[in-house]
Amino acid sequence: MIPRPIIRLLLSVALFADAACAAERGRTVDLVHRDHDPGEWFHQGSDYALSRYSSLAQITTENVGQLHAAWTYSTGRLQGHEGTPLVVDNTMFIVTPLPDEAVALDLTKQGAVKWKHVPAVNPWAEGIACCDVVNRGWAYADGKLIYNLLDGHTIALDANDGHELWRTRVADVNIGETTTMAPVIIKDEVLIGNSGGEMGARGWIAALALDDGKLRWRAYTTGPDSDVKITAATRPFYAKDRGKDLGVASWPNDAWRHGGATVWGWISYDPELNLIYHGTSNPGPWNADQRPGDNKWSSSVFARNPETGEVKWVYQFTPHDMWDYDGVNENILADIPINGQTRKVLMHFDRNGYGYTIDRATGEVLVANPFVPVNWATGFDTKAGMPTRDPRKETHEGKTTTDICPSTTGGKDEEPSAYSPRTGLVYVPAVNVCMDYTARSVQYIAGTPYVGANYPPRKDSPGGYKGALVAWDPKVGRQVWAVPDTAYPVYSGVLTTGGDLVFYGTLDGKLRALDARNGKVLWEAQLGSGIIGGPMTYLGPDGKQYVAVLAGVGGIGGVFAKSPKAPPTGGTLWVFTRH
Amino acid sequence: MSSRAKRGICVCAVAVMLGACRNAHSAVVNDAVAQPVLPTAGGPAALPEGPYAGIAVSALEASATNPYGSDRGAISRGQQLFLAMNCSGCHGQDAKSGIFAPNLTDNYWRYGGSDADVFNSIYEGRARGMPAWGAVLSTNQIWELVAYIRSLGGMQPPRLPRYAGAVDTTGATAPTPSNKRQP
Repeated sequence: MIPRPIIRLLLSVALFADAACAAERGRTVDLVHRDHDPGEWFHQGSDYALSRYSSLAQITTENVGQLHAAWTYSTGRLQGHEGTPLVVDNTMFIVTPLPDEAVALDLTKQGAVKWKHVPAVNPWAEGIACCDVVNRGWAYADGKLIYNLLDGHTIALDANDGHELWRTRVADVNIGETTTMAPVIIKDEVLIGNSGGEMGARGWIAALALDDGKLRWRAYTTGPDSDVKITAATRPFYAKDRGKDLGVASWPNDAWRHGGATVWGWISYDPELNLIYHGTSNPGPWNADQRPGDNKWSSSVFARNPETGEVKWVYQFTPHDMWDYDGVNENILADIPINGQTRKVLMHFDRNGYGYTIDRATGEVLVANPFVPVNWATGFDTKAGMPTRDPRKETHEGKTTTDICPSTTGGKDEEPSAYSPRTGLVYVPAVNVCMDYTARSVQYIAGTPYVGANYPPRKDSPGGYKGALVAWDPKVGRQVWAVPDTAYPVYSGVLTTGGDLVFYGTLDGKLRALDARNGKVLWEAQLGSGIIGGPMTYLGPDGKQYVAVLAGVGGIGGVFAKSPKAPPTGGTLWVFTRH
Repeated sequence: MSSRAKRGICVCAVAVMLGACRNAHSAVVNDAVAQPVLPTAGGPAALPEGPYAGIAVSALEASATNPYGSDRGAISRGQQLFLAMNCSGCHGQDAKSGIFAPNLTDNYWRYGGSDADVFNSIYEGRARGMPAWGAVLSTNQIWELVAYIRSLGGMQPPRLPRYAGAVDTTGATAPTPSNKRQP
């Protein structure tokens, strides 16, 4: 039996050695809380809450008009540029669309290339990627740049020189799976999920070891509770989400095996509750008549333990989805006052057009109101915990249903919102488009789309605008103001700052800065191609504040930017500062 | 077998028989498979993987033309196959989709737009995600698909030079064709 003081000594030596090693690796980062130097940006969403907020305030509503381009970098790629640049240690990291080239730029040298890495990636993945060959984001920790290749691999590169440290095959392109989402690094794990909800893939979320990429656990999103990691301790808030093996029982026969519910969106994390939050895609196939039942757990949000994947609670936004309303959009975490009480919430703007404020400890919906015109539902049933479907807007096999709002792209697609703790508002990149929808029977053939519907022609919404940057009060579920766009949906990420600015981009290439308090457009620049990535901000080596974004239209947003008047494709990283 | 699958096979069988009657005088290549190889109910079909799998290698002459010509029955069966085999899932219901997979109605053909070129692309699969349908469909069925695609108006024999004003509407940079016949 080793004496206690010796144990303490050994422990402190071990901890010291570990800290020393981390320092030698060039960066000691608090991987638990991710409290970081506000001059840096090493998480896609700025922090684990996915606030996309920076406290930097050198650039203000008074002086933002002075912003000018400091330097640019052409990525040499013509496909959609989703994702947000990272800045760590005076190095900026970006990843291009397929072939998923990683680039490190030296901020002490006006963005000179430090290294580039083009990974080996299977070009066959392009043909099974529904929505352009995008890369939605990359992650940094422990001297490693980690991201997904389109073809179902997660890779880690040495952040100093770009050589590959490990790669893990996590998804199977042969059954229509790809990997587009931004991995999230929590403690010593990398969390990833699959794409393929249009291909009859079966959804999952998995954790890889940060140091060597080995699989730690995988939880599915359809099928028996044991696969989904629903346990006796799981407590869904609503009766509709409670029961045994609902991931089987809410499907006909074995349809859950090809049920979609993939995990291609964003993951947020509460270190105090020790819960991760992630959504799931639409169910497969799109033809809902082939899958009677609620189709759990498609179009849902899960709260899980990050070390085991076990489910604390789960909530299905859109039971038996008939309109491709994925539930994968970001869940921004904040503690906000509701009815005089501070509540720990998540704020979520769903494809189905509803803006939700949900208690993130229990899954109770506190607020749910439409943030764009919605007609598939007539209202939100607070007791049942879901919108009430309008039978006239249901979709059925062999039938054309007209003028459904929103369209399959939803009131908001994957492009991420931002929250300002200063104004208490969420700034939402909204899409306001309606559709006609015709479903038809489809057979499952592995590796081909499992859809069973015409990709719907888009139609104008009664709102009279195609998109808007909506400032939303999550405490009451109401729009405070909005900047409408009559020509294009808004498909970019959003950034909020301590200078009370909101940055976002348009599909015709304008990067805008708004006054976060009233929506006034204070500054705008034309970037030459539509913006579907996320803007970010950092402090340069000169101590000045910079704003950076990747322009380069594509993705589903790109479908709306194909008119002869719209700027073409073409990826460029833009970096702005004041004089 | 599900009633839906039975219905599908019946429709296809009737269509094939009608086609056979109409084509009594053309040089149709006969082969043993009379109807689409549909997956058995409840299970996925054998995956028609792309050319890296090497499972379908075409021996077709570059100058070969569609034995069905513009036969209306073949075009109609081709359209049914286009839907049944989920070609419409990637290329769009009307074959004009530009996201998953290229538009088949415009005059840009990455791998060539002649009868033989389009047959080979379907039969062998292509590097950027086109499955190798030669492993699953008969050559007659693939010619029916070619007939249907030709009926949409975009195919231009002979193969268009890469920079003759045609535009790849998927917005990707033009790759080096991976099949053996170079422009």
